[in-house]
Amino acid sequence: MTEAGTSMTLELAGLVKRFGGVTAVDEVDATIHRGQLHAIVGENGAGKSTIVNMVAGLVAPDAGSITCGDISIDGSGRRQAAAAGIGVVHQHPSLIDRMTVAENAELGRPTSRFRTDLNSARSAISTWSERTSFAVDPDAAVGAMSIGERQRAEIVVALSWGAQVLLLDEPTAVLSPFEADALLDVVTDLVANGLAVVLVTHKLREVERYADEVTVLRSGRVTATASRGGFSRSSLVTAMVGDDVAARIRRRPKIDTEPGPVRLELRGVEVGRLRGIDLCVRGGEIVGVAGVAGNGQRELVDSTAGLRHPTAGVVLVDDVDVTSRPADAVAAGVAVIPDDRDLDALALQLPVWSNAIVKRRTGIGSWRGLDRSAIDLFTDAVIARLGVRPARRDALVRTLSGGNRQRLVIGRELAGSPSVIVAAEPTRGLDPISAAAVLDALMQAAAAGSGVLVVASDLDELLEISTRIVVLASGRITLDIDAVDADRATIGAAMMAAAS
Amino acid sequence: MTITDTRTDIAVSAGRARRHSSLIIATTGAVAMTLLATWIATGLEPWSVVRSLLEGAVGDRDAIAETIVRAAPLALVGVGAAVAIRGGVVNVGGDGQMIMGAVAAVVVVGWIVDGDGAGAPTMLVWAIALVVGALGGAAWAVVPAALAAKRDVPEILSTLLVNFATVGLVTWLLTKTFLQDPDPLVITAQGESVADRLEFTLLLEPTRLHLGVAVVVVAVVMTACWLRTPRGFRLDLLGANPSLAAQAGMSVVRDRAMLLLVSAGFAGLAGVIQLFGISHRLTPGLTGGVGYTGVLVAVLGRSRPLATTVAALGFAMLATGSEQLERDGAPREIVLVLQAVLVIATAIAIRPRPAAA
Amino acid sequence: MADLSFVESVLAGGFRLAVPLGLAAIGELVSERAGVLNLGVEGTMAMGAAGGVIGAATMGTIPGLLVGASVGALLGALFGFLVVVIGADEVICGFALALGGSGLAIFLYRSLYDQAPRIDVVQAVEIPVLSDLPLVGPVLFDQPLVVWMLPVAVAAVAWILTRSRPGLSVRAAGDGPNEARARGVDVDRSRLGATIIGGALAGLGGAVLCVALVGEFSDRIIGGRGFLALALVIVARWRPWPLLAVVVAIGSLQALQLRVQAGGGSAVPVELLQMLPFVATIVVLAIGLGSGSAPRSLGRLGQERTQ
Repeated sequence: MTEAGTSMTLELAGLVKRFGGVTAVDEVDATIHRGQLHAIVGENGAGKSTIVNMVAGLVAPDAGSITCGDISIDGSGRRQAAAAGIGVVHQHPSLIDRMTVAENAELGRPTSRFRTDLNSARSAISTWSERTSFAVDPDAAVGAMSIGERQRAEIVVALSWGAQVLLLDEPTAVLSPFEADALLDVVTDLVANGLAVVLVTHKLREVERYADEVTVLRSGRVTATASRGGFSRSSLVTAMVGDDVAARIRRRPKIDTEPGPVRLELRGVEVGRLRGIDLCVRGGEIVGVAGVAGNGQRELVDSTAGLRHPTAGVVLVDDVDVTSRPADAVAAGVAVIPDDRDLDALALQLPVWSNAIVKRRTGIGSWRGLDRSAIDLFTDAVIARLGVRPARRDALVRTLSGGNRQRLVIGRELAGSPSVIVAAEPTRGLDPISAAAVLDALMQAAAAGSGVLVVASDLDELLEISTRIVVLASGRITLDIDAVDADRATIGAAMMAAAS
Repeated sequence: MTITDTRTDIAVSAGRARRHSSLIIATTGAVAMTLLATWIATGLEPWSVVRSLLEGAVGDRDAIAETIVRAAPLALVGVGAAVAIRGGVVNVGGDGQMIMGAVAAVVVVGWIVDGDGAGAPTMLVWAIALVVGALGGAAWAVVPAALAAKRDVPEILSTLLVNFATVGLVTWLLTKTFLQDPDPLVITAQGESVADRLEFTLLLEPTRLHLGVAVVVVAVVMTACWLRTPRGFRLDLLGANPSLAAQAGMSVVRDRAMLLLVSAGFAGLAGVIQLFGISHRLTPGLTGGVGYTGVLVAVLGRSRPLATTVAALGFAMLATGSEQLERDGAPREIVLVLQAVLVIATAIAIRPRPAAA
Repeated sequence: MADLSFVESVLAGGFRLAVPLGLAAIGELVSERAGVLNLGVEGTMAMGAAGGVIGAATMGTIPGLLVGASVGALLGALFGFLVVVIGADEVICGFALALGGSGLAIFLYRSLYDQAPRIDVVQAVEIPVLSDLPLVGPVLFDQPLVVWMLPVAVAAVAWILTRSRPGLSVRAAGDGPNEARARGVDVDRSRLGATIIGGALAGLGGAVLCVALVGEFSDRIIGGRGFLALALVIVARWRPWPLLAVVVAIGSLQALQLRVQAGGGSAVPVELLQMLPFVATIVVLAIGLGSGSAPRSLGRLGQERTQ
């Protein structure tokens, strides 16, 4: 905590941004001083990332002003903001993996020289690498680095550009609890040395531990501001999601029915990074798979859907072997909710009805043609399940918002009482109401007898709905316990366990 | 780029009839601009170009018949290409597939009948020729299909390479092997003339309108019906999102290979029709570039069979019209430019607009 | 002058034949490294050839080559504009450009000339001393000077891609366009620049073929080189120096074929030898060289737009 009011103050005044008919940022004011860690909290869709993009210079505000020192940021490009000393580390590591760290640092740097100057980039990176003790090698190929390493490299690159204000957008989303704390400890040191940091997050733990100042956003507006010591977790939650949703979260009943028969079984499965996976999911259970991204989650999800050919092991659904046979998996009642819905779960250029009937093997028509009335009936049911808006069968899916797209996917997958549901990052990028609806749907499906496997990097979410917690690290299961017995420390340790 | 990752928007802009107006404006405007530019560059008056083209294309009954005759193989190849494009497979090897289909038909028919075409009922011979032609065309796509399935080589590239390789092969076949014209006075590359009785029946003397046109119509209608069935729907899904199609249980790699073979089969069929209906002998120029323009026509028709057929008629009008243009003293290649411009205008009109959220 | 050995004459001929193909290929490599697939190389080469012939007939060889390159650059700019700025599908536009460009080239040529205009083919320049070196001598130093355009272009592209900032931006546009945009790189501008360079080199290649090496323009002069260039970029895994090697190898195959033809027959019929470059490329692709090293955004421009 140092004195405020020095020349590098970042000032946001009356910021407004609209996209189409939606006001993403609505009259936001904030002041960030040097030597402070200022947290901006809110759920998905609250406008946090839009503010980051505006401050970084990537998006122009519709109204209001952003000033850093005496320079005004007007959205004319990243270069202007970078020259003003604003560095940004985005939510998903954005270093190009076919290049080295130094080359990434050279990229887009505000100079007009023709030749690259990798040497000065290298020395700047080495300097900051030492100061942060992040151990970043400038000539390392980004592609060979783990997610945590990339995150650290990106911070070092931002600092090597001479950033005086650092915007961190959900930096710990992809990190294990230990890595997350280590990162934020270093950030705290940097703050103590004069850096101004804006930490955008939805994790209240981090706000409690690290923030000097907090600004809470909901639906684009500032609903609360506070200083260290002046807020509680529940006051933050209420400011973030409003009273009704907060109450809904507290009210969500825990599943306490006895688990039924085994619906999904993986025996000795080896594929990609996965080694010797033995896993059972019973009807009525929600098994939460925790782990840092890149430890075999993708392979796990794909194997259960029959999309990968394991080099060893079998996948059984209700005792039926569906290994490597996606058609059999569908017939056996496996529902899949992939983590990248736009890429893997939806055909964006096709209408809602087409996406709804994708997994129907029969009942959509004959050699005479498609049976429109049957299709319409089915589609309406899918739309109604989680309430897709707008409820038009002919709307092209790419006109739907992220939340509605996920509602469509889940409505489709849950139709017909699936035996097994595999959901990867089911609430990623969703506004809080949609996220709550999704989690409710998963819990209802479990209560109805399906076996549910949820893979997510958000530990809080997993702990909220799971009956059992499993941890994936280095391709192996390092922990498998009932949720009531699970705590963050044990899980965090299991995430870091190296393969033996 | 792995094949299963590429998603072509042309596959599915097929679907919705929402952009008719912008399409018509774009294409008309593009043609007008091209003619104007030609006028400025070479002094060729737009109005005289249009007049020559129309006269040559639909000026009298003979011209109309000729246009339809040209449109038939083009429509067939186009519909075959359209079906493949809907599934995300771009087959530009139509020319090679057409010729090799015709070659296969000639070889097999040669086993069945004697020099005068006798030895079996004509209808039977035609039926066999058509089937063999389709199979022969499909066989010519086996290597590209395998390359796509095993080595992730994009079909658009492998079919092209095979196409160019076929040029030399055909020349050799028609000058150095048993397929060449037995007449000792003939030195150019061409095959033996098809027996008179085996030529497709003329439907409208003295025009060249022949039975093969009916075959094309049947094929196009059957394809249009098939596309409306659940199988056709799954085809659209394959093209729109192969990853989702795999999840739904479809065998993406195998289906794509099948699509390539089927569209090649259409081309082979078109080659046989061209052989027995128009050219009456194997020549290197049998196809008239239809293998390539078939793909363009499929794009113009946005991968829908009936619209593709209409587009084929349009292109055929340009082709027959261009001959009149040539007779009137202007180089006929302007028509190639017009065809390209039409396709580009279509591409602009059907381009994906950025997503909402 | 010592008689050239068989190998030397094939390689020397191969090097010469490789130039049009190689220029087009290295140009396409630049475009694809930025993430833009340009199927229209064949048409651009044809237009470059026609433009080159027109320029050479009226003004001379060097101006002819410049005209060819400029025409190619214009077409590259048009293609880039359609695909990068407007967002039309690159496969459709490229294909249309290939056919339309070839057609337009023939149309313009025939509109202007009833008879082929007189163009002097460029003669070989024998560099003293160096041309007497074994193997390297006749292959590199007893050639028309235009031949040097190819290695120079390849070297320039290789250097620019690795050591210059625009080159870095091009690679970023190809391997990580979204990340590059987030860092403030103008991806669209990089891509447009890449297609213009690609077009210019393809046009130059066509011009070199007609103006410098063959001396005339004809309907089928390009003969599939443009499409072959596309395949060779893949075979060379999008790297400049391997591309040079591949292109010279293919050229040598063609030289071999011509030599055999001229020498009066061989066991293998001449027409079948014409298939050789294409079959060889297919075989290499079948053996399985990397499409795994393709620039990440290649073939996905449409997705970038809609997601």
